[in-house]
Amino acid sequence: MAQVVSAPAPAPQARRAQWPPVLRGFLWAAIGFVVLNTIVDIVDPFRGHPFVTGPSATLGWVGAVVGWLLGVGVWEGVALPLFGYPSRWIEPSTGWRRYFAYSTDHKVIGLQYLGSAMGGFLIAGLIAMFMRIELMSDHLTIFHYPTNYLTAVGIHGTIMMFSVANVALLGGFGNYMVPIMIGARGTAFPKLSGISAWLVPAGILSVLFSPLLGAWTTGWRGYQPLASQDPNGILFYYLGVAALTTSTFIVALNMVTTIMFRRAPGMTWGRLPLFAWGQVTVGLLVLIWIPEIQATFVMGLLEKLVPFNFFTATGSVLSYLELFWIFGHPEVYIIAVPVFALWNEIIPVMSQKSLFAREWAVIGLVFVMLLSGLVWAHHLFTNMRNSEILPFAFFTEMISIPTGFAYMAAIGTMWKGRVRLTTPMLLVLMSMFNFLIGGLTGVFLADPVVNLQLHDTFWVVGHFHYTVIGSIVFTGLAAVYYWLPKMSGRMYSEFWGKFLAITLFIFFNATFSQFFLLGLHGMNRWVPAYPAYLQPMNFEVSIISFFLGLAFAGQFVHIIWAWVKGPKAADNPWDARTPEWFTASPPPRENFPVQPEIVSSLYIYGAQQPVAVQLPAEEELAAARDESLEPEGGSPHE
Amino acid sequence: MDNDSKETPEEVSASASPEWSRRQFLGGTVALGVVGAVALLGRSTVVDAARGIFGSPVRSGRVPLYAYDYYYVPNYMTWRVGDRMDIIFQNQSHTHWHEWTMGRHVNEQYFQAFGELSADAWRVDFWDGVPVTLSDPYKIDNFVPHDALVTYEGPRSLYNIQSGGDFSPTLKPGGSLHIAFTVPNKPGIWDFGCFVQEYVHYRTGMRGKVHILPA
Repeated sequence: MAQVVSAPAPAPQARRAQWPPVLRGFLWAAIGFVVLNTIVDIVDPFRGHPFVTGPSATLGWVGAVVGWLLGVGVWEGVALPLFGYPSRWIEPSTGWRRYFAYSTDHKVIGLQYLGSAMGGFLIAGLIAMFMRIELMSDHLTIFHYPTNYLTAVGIHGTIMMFSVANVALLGGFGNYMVPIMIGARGTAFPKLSGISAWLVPAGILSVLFSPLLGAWTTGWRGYQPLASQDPNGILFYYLGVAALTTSTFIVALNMVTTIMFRRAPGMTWGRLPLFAWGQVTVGLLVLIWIPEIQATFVMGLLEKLVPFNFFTATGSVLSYLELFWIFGHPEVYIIAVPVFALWNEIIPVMSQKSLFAREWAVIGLVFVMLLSGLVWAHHLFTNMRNSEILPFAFFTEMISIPTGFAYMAAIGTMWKGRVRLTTPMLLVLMSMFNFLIGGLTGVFLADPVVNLQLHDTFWVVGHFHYTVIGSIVFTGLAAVYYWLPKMSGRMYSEFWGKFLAITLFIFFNATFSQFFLLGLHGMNRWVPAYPAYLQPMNFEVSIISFFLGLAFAGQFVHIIWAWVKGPKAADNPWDARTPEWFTASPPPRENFPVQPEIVSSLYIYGAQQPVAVQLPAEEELAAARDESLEPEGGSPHE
Repeated sequence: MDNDSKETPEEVSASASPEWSRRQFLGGTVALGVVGAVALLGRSTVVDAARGIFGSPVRSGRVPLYAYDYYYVPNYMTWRVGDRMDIIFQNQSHTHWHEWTMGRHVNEQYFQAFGELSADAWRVDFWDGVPVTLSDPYKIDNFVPHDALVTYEGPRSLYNIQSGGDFSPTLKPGGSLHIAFTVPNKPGIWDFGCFVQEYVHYRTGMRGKVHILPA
């Protein structure tokens, strides 16, 4: 892999004051947009000469994203060296500034993903608060037209799904933790990964600012041919999602390759940490299904822009739905599989007990992955013949079995263990409870007879939020608390952690459990105005949801406080056995002073268990002698 | 799998590397956030204020008016009472039908999710009692004269004249129509818009303003 030129820098002349990379990114993005937009205006002029048209905004957006990426540091870090020009780019290994520029350090990249996921969560969460304000009354209040409300719903869903749910555990903890957990000293594609992290802010901002081009009404699914009836705002939906899904795809490519080829000596597949297994299975899901949905979204974009008739005159309206949901259901498992894996990562540690039925926990992950591609049509029961429904109803009920393996391993591990009810453990248990509710209410929806009654009501919205918030948000927070001492070297406050977790759990359940009742009473989704008899309950749900919003805000405040000001943490505060705990906190640039070796299973706790991770002593001494950290020739592997 | 460290770029501690200004970063980011919020939420206010300050040139004679999905070009015009206008109204959409109506005071009650939608949205129709000459009809879906005093050039069948609703020429994709008139003595700000598809076009921003100056 090419190395950044380390040519002798010219005499330290008065350096030109550097622009902060993010600001330069915005400037270059604006220039990129204007240049490509203008070229399209010249090549494809519209009568009356509007400056921004559908085609010009689309290609202008491409220019903006290229400008943005180059501006945040890809120019010096990748582009110049790639074309053989000398670049004086030096990657800082310490300091907060490296988080706000292009980086090749997977730990920095992981935190960039976590940061943008958190930013996306706050933006989309704020929009959800506006939605709940609107739903406090049965007619339109803060939104002028139903279209504006639908746009808000769409932005909320799109940012939450594609920049938070897909990104937090995969791009965030995947990038940060997986290489360390497998004893690697870097990832397979550090530059590509560094670029992909910066696609997330680009995608979030594209979707957030889509109303500049007009409202859109399709929600996070971009349904055609409905989208072709929308104003041009839908273009920025398709484009923003293209950036976000590309980022997810690169994460998966990097993670799967890293896990396959860069495991430490002794890190066999049989010893691979559960979270890494989760990343492999979810990585394969992403590599299979993200290209599928990207192709569909490109067709959707062209359908609107050209326009084509892919999904209307020459195709069936159903064809888009099928193409969307054949990705859309695996998407749920793209979210859930790393969550299952994390449960069984954290529970053995907190119970100090060997992971129960480890093989079955892994098999569960793999089978969820396989079956997830066979259930998509249960999103379309209302549009299908009875004969077509049966296999999908069958597989939908079936997929709860491998999901149950995750529960079985988790419960079996806790059984008669000395469970330490720390904040991460508490959040994992809450997550398991919430996901169970989400799963059980999903069984109702998998039953076609019930589905025909409940579809398109708040029951579905409740089910969905229980599965998604219940899984990724609660477990994501658990992961933040679990690895906070590792990532920051600091500890959170156990009192505030637990207090905020319990508050969150109560308000989450008080809000979303009532969605089921609202749905049963006849509250439709996707409507800002509804029959008057539903107003009192909606009003009360909204009030509780504001407290839920505050509970989330409290979590973030606490986490940021702990990160900056928390007390110093011990090296291995949980007595965990996975390799990430066998290095400094926060880990150094190359994770370990020398290449570690894995010498036994990582999930066996007990009296006779030897240490699982060894750092060869003679190499460690050599590394300590030689501060320049030259590669030590590697330990024999195989 | 074992020469990992060869691939990492050269590193130095942060103190030795050129540093950008924290103040610039924070100030710039906050400023961009403000600009973004204004762009998202207060665009029309800013545009109105700019027009109030800089004005807009008076148009007369031949003025093309293009309908796209879902916006007009231009979406703001200044006319003067007594001027002769030749509006060439063209639908540039490939897929959608568009109309041009002008008036004041849309009854927004109609835009609630429930309830009936009335065909005439303007409480005051600009074209009431205005003599108008229509010519060069092409791909006209329908035309409602309402209370305008209309002269048709060419065969009337091409205009597909209908009743109900405001003065509104509705064009098929690619259609066009020449609308000639003398600006009536109705000074002030008038709104125009397209109410096709149950006002969805209007709601999503297919609207504009005409500022009529006294003679």
